[in-house]
Amino acid sequence: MMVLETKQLTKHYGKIKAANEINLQIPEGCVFAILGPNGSGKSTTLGMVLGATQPTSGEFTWFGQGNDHKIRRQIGAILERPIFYPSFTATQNLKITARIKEVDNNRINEVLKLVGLYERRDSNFKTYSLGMKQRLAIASAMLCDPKVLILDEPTNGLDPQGIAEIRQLILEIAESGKTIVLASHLLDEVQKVCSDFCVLRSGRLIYQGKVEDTGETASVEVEVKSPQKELELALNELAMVTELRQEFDGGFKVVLNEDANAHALNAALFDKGITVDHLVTHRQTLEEKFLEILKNEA
Amino acid sequence: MIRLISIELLKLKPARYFWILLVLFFVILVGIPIGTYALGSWITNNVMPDESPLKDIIPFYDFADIWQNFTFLYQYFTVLLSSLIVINVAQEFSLQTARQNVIDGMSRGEFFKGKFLLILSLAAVVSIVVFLLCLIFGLMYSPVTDTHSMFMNVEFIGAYFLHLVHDFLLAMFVALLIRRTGIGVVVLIFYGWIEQFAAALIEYAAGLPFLASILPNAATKVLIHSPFNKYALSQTFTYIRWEDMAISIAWIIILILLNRWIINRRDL
Ligand SMILES: Nc1ncnc2c1ncn2[C@@H]1O[C@H](COP(=O)(O)OP(=O)(O)O)[C@@H](O)[C@H]1O
Ligand SMILES: [Mg+2]
Repeated sequence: MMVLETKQLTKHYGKIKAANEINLQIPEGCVFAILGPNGSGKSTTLGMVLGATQPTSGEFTWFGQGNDHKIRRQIGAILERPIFYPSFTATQNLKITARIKEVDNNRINEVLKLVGLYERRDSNFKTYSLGMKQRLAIASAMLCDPKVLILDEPTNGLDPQGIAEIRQLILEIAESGKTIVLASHLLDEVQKVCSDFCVLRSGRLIYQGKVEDTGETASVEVEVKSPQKELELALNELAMVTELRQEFDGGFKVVLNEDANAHALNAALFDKGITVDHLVTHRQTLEEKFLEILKNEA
Repeated sequence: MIRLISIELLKLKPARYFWILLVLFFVILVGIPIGTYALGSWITNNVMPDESPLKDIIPFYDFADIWQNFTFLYQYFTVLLSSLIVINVAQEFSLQTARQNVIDGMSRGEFFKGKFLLILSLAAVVSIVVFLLCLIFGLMYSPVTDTHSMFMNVEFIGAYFLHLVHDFLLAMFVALLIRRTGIGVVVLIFYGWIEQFAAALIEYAAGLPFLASILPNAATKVLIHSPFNKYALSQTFTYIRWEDMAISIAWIIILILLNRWIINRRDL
């Protein structure tokens, strides 16, 4: 089942096409990343499917059921930044959310414990650090035991420790099997947790796929180094080598054809009397994929 | 409906501005009749000791008159409660809590309904308190206390309720346009003048003199006419005129539709 499906979803701000005919499918049970540089339309798209922003055109459907406001009560979402009444305590704030979502007040202490804010539940929101505010937002999103959790830049502006805490929290929630949608301009943030991703650029959806696919690209890249000068010549002669590039440190970046791998390369070089002292298979990371996608579309 | 009003109460109960303005308003509600009585006694005792007591000369607390006297004076303090509404509504937009409410599963219609119910409840509670105050002070100081004259002009409480609902809806409208609590309150306080200025401009530019009297603020001000002219032997309306009421109700309907329209179509 699709958790969320959008059809030609579009938002114009005057001449700015903040979101342009976005067709998105988010399957159940995945951790889905929406990637894109700042201003690429991530928040605008999420704002539309969460009812905060009126679409210029297009449609969207939650859980294959429609887009009624009552459906949002089963969704936990933070958009852009944590929003609460500054002079109210965590408990007073969550009571409002609980009533809106028609959730029992018992849940409040449970989610506060989950994010480690139970001890500070009677402090005013404005006295919280940014990391605590972000955690309270996650607590609020978890109130209704949501079918899907939507987090927009959840580590924005946090210090390294705060980032680590939020990331740990997201990992724990992901392990419980919830669908999570994570919007971010930081790849690093989503790489370790997400299973699917899409890329937005200037309001357009330019890629959607699985993270594991990016590791199995047609070519394999290997780093080789050897003290022997004949290495370059030998590499040039090998049929399995499709691309060769010398690095500054004297080593070589070698792109192999799809049947080959580092093991085969090593064997072939050994046959030519060359021993290597450095041989590393380079998997294409999400980051490189991301940059490649952006470059290809430019 | 109970859910929506309870959400509004959860948003008000911990809010300092709410209690400060509400308590201040109720102190004024009770303070005015007590103050007037004290002033009257002081004048009769010190300034004109030979005259009969002032309260006999000016039948401020007399039944039948008391409803119009009290509600007319209380009208001037509605701005305290209107400020409360401006702060309450503008805050939802300056803090973006309205947006979070919608994300959390409120419809825009429900958001409007919650605020409208808050306005109706506040107007109802205040009207009931004013009704009780009139009754209590009347029973204490009025020379006539037969049930017929007691409740003769009680419809002024109804007019007062309409006046409150109208002013609160206007406050909500200002809040929806300005979206900032501080400037919102300032605009509200000066709204009367802004409206008069606008009316004068329109009258000058388009030659529509009747407009000045049907703009929202002017319309609610004439709902309860000043009762005090009659003590100076000049003519005044001691009843509520149908045409005044019609204009007020028309504005209430217009403001309801306008406020709902703004909330429904705006990006939050
Ligand atoms: N309320 C708005 N009015 C005008 N332009 C806006 C508004 N909100 C966003 N935009 C513009 O829409 C584009 C996408 O913004 P946004 O969705 O916030 O990007 P992201 O979340 O990916 O950083 C940007 O160019 C931004 O300036
Ligand atoms: Mg954003």
